[in-house]
Amino acid sequence: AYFLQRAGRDYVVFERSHAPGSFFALYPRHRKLISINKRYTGKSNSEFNLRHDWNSLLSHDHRLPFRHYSRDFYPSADEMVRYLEDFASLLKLQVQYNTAIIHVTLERDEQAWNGHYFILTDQDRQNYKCSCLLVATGTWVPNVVNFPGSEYVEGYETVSTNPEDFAGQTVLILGRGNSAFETAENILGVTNFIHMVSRSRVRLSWATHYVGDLRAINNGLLDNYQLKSLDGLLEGDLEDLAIVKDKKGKLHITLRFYLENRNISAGTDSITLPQDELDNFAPRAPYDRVIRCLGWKFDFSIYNRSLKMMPGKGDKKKYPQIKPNYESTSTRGLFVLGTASHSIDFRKSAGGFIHGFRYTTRAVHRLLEKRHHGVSWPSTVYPVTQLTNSIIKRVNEASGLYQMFSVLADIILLRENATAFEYLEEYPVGILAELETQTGRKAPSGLFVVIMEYGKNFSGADKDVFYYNRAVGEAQHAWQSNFLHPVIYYYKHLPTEHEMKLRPPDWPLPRPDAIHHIVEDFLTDWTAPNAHILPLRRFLENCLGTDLRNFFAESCFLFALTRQKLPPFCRQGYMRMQGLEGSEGLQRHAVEAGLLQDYSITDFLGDRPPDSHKGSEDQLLRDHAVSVRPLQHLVNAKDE
Amino acid sequence: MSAQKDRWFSSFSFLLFCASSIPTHGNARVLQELSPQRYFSALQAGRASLAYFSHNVSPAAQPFLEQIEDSAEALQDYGISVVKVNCPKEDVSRYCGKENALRKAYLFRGNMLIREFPTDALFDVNSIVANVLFALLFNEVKYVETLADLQNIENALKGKSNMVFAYVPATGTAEHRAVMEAAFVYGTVHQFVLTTEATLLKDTSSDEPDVSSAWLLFCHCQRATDLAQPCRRTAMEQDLTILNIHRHLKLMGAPLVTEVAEDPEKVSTVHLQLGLPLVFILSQKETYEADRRTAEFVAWQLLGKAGVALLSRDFVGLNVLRRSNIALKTPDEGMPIKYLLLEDTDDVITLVEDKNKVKQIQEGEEEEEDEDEKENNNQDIQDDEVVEAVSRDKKRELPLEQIHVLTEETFHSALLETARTVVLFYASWEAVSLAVLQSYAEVADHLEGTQGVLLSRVNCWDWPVICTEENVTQFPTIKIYEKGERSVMYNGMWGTKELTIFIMLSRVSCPLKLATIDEAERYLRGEFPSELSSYHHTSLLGVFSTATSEAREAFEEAGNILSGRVTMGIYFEDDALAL
Repeated sequence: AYFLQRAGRDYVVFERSHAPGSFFALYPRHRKLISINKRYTGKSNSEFNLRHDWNSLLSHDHRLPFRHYSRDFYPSADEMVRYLEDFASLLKLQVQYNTAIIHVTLERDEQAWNGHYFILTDQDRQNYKCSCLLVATGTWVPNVVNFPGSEYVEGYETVSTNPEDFAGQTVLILGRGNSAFETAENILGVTNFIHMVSRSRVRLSWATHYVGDLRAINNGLLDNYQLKSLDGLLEGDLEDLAIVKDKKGKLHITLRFYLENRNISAGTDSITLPQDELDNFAPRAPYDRVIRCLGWKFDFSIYNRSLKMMPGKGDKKKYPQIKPNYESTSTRGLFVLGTASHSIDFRKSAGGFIHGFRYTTRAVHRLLEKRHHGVSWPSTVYPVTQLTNSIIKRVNEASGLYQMFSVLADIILLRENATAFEYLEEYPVGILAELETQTGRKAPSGLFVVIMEYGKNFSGADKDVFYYNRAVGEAQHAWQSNFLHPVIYYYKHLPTEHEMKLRPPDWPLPRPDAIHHIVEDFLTDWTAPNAHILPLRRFLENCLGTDLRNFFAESCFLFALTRQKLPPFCRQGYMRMQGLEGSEGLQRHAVEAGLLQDYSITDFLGDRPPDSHKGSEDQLLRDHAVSVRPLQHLVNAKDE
Repeated sequence: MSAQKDRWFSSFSFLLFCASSIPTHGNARVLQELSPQRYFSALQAGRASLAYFSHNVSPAAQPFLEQIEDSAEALQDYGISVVKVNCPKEDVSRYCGKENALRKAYLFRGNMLIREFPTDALFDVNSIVANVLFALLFNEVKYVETLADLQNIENALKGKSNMVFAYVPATGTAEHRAVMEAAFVYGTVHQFVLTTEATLLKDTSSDEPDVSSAWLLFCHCQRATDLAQPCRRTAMEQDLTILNIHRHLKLMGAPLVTEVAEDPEKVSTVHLQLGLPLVFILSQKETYEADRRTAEFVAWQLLGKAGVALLSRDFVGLNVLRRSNIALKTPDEGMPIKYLLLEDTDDVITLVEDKNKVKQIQEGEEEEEDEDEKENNNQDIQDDEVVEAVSRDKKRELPLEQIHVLTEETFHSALLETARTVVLFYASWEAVSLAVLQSYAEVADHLEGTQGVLLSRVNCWDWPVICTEENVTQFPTIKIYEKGERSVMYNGMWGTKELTIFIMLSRVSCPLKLATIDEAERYLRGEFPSELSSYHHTSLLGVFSTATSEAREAFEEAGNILSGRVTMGIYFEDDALAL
């Protein structure tokens, strides 16, 4: 809504509750957010600091970084609710509260932007009509598993958060996500023991680099399990499970298989328990409570069938199916934003979380601005001399690239002759092939894509991410970098949709004409002249066939007299009377490095206009006199 | 080379031994001359014989007789006797009687006539041997004409035995003979298939084959498990001679990968005996499965060219253990085993296929490393003079006390404090910025104490928002702000002198309004305004009559644009014409 507001578009937000962020009013049940609120980074760069602020929404308002709202590293959910309220009110966003949309349908109309209008019906049968529908309802319907005895199970959404209620009890938790561990963490100290059952193995966030997996803050139970302190983890398909209540009210785990085979007429006692046959069956002890913490899913129920809102496949069935531009696969003009849009990068990047979808939402806004209002994707044109600089600047501070790694990328569109380029920030790489139509920018002579990636074989649920030599230090081994690092893809032509489709699995982009990895950095500070900038510059030079070095005015002067073609730095600087003179001290250093000819016998050459007859004569004479050797590097410049 | 030949001969003699172990008639003279009666009575069951019937030697038959005599010895090796039957003149029996029968040779097994050959098909020893064996081995050697026939045979053989498929341009040639001789020995082990159809050859080989030369493929059907896939094939690359075929079949018969658990120096395999190199893949228990797969893969590629063995690392000296994964043993006596470190299987294959490279790889290894390093060094060396100069200077602390540091918070308020604020926008990691910062510090030094000018800087690495707001797209950028109203971007040389002049000139309003003629004259002499007198600069004087306000406005506008670059005086008092 903020972006629409700033662009002056006609919009309204419907909120079911009386205040924004109603999800956070209830969840997480134990009130502690697991998104970090890093208030100090040692840097004042506000863009950089957003890399370590997982709670703020994007706005121009300097009152609205989240760090003003909480001092806690893991802030309370109440603070998030208060933040969202302020965000809506301070920015004067058009929100209509207490409006629950219960039905969405389409009305065909040739005139409409997308060939149809959306008709929304609220709880009072009031209808609303719009051209474009942005769905940011999140995933709020709790996942439920049905098995015999599931009526004895309590849900995460209602379970008591008071540890006293669990004193001396034995608890079974279904699920292995953060909510399950959060619940366990809360009652760890007072229960007899806690067992946890889920289908898959625990996925540790620090092993997968996915913030939705189990975070270290919640994993106290793992300690207890591995140190044999009664608590434990089990793997099993919940569908096969059954729970039986005995006369004392204790809950026993059994298998559906046994229930189906039993004699219907017989009482509860006759049910076979696994331990009857296998007397060391792991979860044989009876439980006092069973709690379900299985996560949430998208609410598909309000959409008319004509909208064809389909659940995703496999792991992603809790999210609606969308295209890489966040538009519904079947209904044009319906975009899914926020957590519900996480199917794009589920278990990969941060699109399901505030610190991720705040960028993807902005990207969708920019796409819509182009589609419906003819506003091209914002871009800046720079001279080619700034190419290395602009990449270095972005990879060091850009937060969208950093948070939405492998999903959003900066695009550098080269102008003809590679004398200038256009810089587009944070474009969804999934629709790279459609770049020209989606952004209104042209890519006539190739492009660079700047993106951040983890090492391809590094992260994973069962990987050891602390092995020796996990990080590489040398630039020539940059491609083996494991931790998040910038990668630059070079394409001579925009990849086609076909190429995008055929890209290798887990690659964000198809095979480029050239690729460059900037070596990972312990401080995520990629400004080292020799390890980071020099290899990058060489890569860019090789791609463009040009010389991107900087030169002092003296060298440019020499080139101007001895060469037909000048390096861009001289052409765009010195030749326009903007040469870099450099202090005497620097010039001396350059001479000592053997990179600059020693002209100390003369006064400043830069004083004279380059076409001064006398000056050039002197220069030529001197050139004849000096040995050529120290200038070899200049003579061997690439573009000759 | 000679050792190699010796081995060939030894294996050939083995072949001959096989062949001659078939019992033969102990006749001293190979070609027997018998009468019909004796011939027919001497025929033994199961013994093959080639007979030529003649009355008297006609001159036309003479060359043929010579050939058949020569072939007798060769055929004897295969237990086939060659007999010239002298027909009595009056004999008119079946073989002697008819005139045209005399132009034929007859092949009998026992007393069964197997085949009759026209004498012109038996034009030389090769053709005689080839045709006779071809006839005798009718069951062992299948002749095919179409691809379908070939495929049927191939399919039938899958999982059972291997197939040797030979193409000869014509029957009766030396190649044909070689194939038949090989079939005689190996016919019970492998299924031989022969064709003379060039189209078949084209269908079975991928690239355009040379139909004029013979061709032999070994098809590994015994290992074939997938019925839908054709059997793996290994073409023989040498000429079709009995020696080469024998060698090829021998190699095909050898185990794909030999497992070696002894000192590799002592290992000897078929390959080494046949003069081919042996490649050892060094293996260890932990990676055995993977090594085995690699070895098999390599072995398939090298089939017929070299042997592949899997060598347990326990038998390799420690010194080579770490550095090598491949060892190569050449058949030459006395050559030590070479240990190499190769990165992929292609290297192994080229290693063998291009033997000349072996030496180079070994000797070049160390050099290559050096070269690599050199190249890398070149790549690693900073060749950007500005970056290098700045980084050499990084330990020195710049005297920046004169320059105010502005932040996002202080930026706007600072602009209002002084009449003119010079702001350098830079990035602290960027070399050109730092070079300019040095010059800027020198400027600050020069201008120390100058009133009305504040020198300041904004580090865009710390404060990106303000830099974006101020439209800073390049590093570095210098702007001069006048009381927070107007700003001028500096676009001159990044040098101390130029920058100082620019700042000094900017201090004077442009155009400068001259009040009196005296002022105007001093202005022209460069004495007014006095603070600029020490700076060399271009100056302009605009003289306007009071009436020409339009031109004057244009001049003033130009002055705004040129502020800092030139001085512009303007005089428009009533006595303007006096100037």
